[in-house]
Amino acid sequence: MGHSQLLLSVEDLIIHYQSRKSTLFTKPEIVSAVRGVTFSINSGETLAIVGESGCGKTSIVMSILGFVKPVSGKIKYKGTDIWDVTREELRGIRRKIQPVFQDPHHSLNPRMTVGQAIEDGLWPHQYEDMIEKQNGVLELLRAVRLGKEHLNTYPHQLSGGQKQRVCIARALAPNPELLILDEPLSSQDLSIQATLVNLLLDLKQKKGLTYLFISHDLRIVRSIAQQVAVMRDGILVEVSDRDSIFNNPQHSYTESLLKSSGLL
Amino acid sequence: MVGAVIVLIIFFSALGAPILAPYDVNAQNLTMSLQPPSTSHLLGTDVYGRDLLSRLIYGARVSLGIGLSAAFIATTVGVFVGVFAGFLGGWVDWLLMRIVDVLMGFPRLVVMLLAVGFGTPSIWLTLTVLGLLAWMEVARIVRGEVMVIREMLYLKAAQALGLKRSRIIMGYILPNVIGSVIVSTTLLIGTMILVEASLSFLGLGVQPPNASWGTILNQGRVDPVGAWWISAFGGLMIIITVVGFNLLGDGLRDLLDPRSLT
Amino acid sequence: MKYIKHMITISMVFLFAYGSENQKNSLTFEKEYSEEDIVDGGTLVVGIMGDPEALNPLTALSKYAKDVVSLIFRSLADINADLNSFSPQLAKSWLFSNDGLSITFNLRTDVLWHDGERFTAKDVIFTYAMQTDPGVGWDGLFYKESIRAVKALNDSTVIFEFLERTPTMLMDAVEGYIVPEHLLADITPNRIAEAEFNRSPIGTGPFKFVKWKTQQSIVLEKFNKYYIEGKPHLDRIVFQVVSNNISLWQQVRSGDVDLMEGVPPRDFVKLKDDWAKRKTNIRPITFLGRQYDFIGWNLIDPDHYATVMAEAGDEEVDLDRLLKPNKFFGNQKVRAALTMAIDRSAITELVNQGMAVRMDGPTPIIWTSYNNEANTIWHYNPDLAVQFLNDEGWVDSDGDGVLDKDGLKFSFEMATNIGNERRKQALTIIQEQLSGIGVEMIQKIADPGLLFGRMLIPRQFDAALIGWEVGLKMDLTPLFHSSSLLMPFNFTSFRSQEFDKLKEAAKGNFDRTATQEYWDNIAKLLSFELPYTWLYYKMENVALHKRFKGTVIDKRGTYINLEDWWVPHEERTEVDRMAPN
Ligand SMILES: Nc1ncnc2c1ncn2[C@@H]1O[C@H](COP(=O)(O)OP(=O)(O)OP(=O)(O)O)[C@@H](O)[C@H]1O
Ligand SMILES: [Mg+2]
Repeated sequence: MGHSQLLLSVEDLIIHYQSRKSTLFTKPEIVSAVRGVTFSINSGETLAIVGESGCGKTSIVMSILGFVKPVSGKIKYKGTDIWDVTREELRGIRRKIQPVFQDPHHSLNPRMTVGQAIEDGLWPHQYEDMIEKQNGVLELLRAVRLGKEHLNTYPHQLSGGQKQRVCIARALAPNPELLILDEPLSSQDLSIQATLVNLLLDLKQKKGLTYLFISHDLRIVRSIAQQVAVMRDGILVEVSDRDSIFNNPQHSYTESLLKSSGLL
Repeated sequence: MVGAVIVLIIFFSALGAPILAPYDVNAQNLTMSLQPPSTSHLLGTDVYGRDLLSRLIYGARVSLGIGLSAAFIATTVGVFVGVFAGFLGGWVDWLLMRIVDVLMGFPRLVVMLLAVGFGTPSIWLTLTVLGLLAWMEVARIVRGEVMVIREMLYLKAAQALGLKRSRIIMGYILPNVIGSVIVSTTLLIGTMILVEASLSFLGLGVQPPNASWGTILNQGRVDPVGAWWISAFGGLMIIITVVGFNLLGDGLRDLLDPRSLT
Repeated sequence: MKYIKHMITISMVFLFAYGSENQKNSLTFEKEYSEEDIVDGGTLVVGIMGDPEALNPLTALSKYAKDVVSLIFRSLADINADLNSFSPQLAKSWLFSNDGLSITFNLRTDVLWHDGERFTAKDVIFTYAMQTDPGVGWDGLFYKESIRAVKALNDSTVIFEFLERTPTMLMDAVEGYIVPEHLLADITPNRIAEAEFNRSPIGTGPFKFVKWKTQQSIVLEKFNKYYIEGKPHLDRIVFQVVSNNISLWQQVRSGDVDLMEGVPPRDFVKLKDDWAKRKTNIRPITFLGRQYDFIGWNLIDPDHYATVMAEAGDEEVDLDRLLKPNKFFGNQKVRAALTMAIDRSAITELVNQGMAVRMDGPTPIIWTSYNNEANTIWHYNPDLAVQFLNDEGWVDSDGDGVLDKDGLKFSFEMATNIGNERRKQALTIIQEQLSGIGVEMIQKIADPGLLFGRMLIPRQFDAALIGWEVGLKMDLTPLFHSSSLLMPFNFTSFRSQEFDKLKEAAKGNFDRTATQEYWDNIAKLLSFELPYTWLYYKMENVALHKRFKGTVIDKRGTYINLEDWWVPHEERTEVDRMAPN
């Protein structure tokens, strides 16, 4: 893959949360969620970030999506610092980076039908007329193995797995290059996890997508990622290709993770 | 939907007042002053010998009209301010909420007295002042809801889709606050009817000889015991209506809940 | 403009007294008791609806303050129920001089102030000086206008000298309570409003001041050295401040309050009924009081008046230029039409529950000069009213139900003060009756201060439904004479050469029939001209616990003989036995 192109690079990212407002008498309480993280993803690749709950994975995602401003560090998409652009430019970049969140139940607007939700992801001028637009929506639904019958259903009428498929379809709507999957499977049953993994692999191939895949389940990571970053307490302790991580872990934390999931 | 039925009945009797009212609403008959309910005057007469039933029916127009319009004004302003404050956050939020705090600190009645005292008392002035004094509560409720919605994942997803703010507000925020807005609006209608009544009590609301439930209630003061029917029926109309709107509000909340849309 | 500035006070008291023997209005209720039964002791609790502003006769303005003052202080003589003759008080007797221009008073020598000092002629001289001092601002000043000087011949003799002979000389001389020279002489007249004395008064009356809790109560006690032997009988008078007449009436019924003036008409009707059936201990007392309500029409154009006044600034204004006739009410036939459109009898009956008398002309019914025969009576006649208006060019040319003339709709505001249910009811009835003849009237209910200060006094109104408090001095000059045109009381801006002429001709005329003729002419003129549409003269409704005996309550007031009131032992209550403190 010699000619693969650098899509996203994260350099020395530091994220703090201010958990309490400072007053005259109390200092603000600072939570240091991400403490200097550097990694990059090449186009067409899948990078997985693994680590236990609370280590800062979602914080990185939110920062890449432009929701949480980092204290320092750079997030560059195709060389453009996403925290150093106009609102218009950011809107354009955002459409190329689409998230799928862990909790599908809160990821869909309860007042919108599946059709409407997906439709919102299509550029208004992408399709000539309503019918074409409708076809676009149907196509996306089919891509995630849902059908026409789901077009006019509301989220609360769907199962968790179906919801997550809708979320994926919505994320695909603007023709993104990078999909950020923040533990997309962890709220699903095992059987559904398997089908969703297959779906994701399938889509990646068909659409030539790049994945940033967040997980704490090493088995799934092994089946989906080329690159793996192991995170602990806001720091990446080890970044390497899949085989090195699984066969030859360098860091003791990686080792203990593998052990606890029975992979070592 | 008991609430809807009550509200509809009152609404249609207000609309059909000229047909339904048995007597000319303002016609006095001084020899029939304070007649108790009878077959000729089903709900009795007031001190001027005017038919109470007719006045209550006509009063529905004014009271409902004022209640609805004032609540509408208050809701519109409140939603507008609440959405802006909640969605934009930052100094906009800070400033708007300080304004809300200050306005809520004003005793409503005093402001009303001043406003109505300076202008010429009229239905329109009353209504505008009522509406403009009641929006703060709505703004607070809406702001709170918006702050919650702003943190919801579906909103993040929508933002990630690069949607315009207007689309986010119209498609994602408003539909999700509408439930609580409708409930607070229906409650407000009831409150506004009551406030109009107390304003009329001070001679500042609806100008005589026009009837509103408030002015009718006041006329009961002439002789609360001897002429019980005035305060009783006037009060009853207000209570029924307020309860009706509250029931309607509850009903609408359930109806608008997406979980009930199948 | 000058007048307006310093006349914003709204105490409307003009009085009159003179003439008439056959008034037997005093209501006494003594039947079962004789002189020998009278015993001392007892407490009277009076409910009042406002805290007095001062208990000094020179500065008291409100009715409540004047009521309390009337028990603590005494004047030279008191007017009798005939509103003509006087009874001696601080003066034992008096004598007119031969030229009729002065009166000599012989003072009592046995009178003590409540602090033990002796009352003398010096106090009378001092009181007159204070009453007429512009710095004091006494509200009865107009009584003293024809007095030239007051002199003491010795400690017990004073002479009042007059500028001219008038029928009211004696009343003018004795009006006003005598205040103590020895306590007030050191106070600069224009600082009298701040004097300590206002809150701890010392008088010569039957009751002495004990204490005053602001907004709560005032306590008076029997003055043991009162100059009339054996008086007063009651030990104590408590004035209880109650915020409104509804809760006051409640307290009267519960027995917490013994005496209340101004019982609401409907409650009073019920009380009378209960009393007749012996179901209550509260005695209803009713009599022609001192108040009447009327509609005053603004006879001049308000905008024009304001413009001319503003232009004039502090300079003298040209009255002829100032008084441009009002576009509605400048016309006598229009006023007559409006008067005929109003069923004044029905209003009188309904809003007062029968406790009022319809009024057709300017003379208050308690005045001896009252003669309804002299009045032009505009009976209720809406058809004739319409015809009158049509004759004057007011027709409904556009079919909207409201008359118009030269493009002007007959639509105007009628104002009244806030908080008076009786007037509000009258207004609502009048509104409906006027709408019946195609005249649109809009009710304007205003704060009293606003009504007088911003509307009536600066003439910025169309019509007003208000009431006057009737004085005992018979004089309509302040209301209708051209000399009062710019003054607050002639707020309709009535100007009539005939009225002025009648007034001039009557001057110095003491002949009884001639005087009555003068009053009849005045009544005839004004009831025809209708600067006012008079509505009704009110009865006063007083409720008094029945244990009080020897009471005389009439148009002169509720407290005129309080020193004679007494309570039989067998009827005493907790309150009467209350230990003095
Ligand atoms: N909005 C916030 N305000 C304050 N602290 C926060 C906020 N969001 C996250 N944190 C804290 O930052 C740290 C990192 O949180 P983050 O959500 O990034 O972890 P995570 O690795 O995604 O965990 P999980 O596997 O549970 O999703 C945690 O300690 C968390 O409590
Ligand atoms: Mg997370």
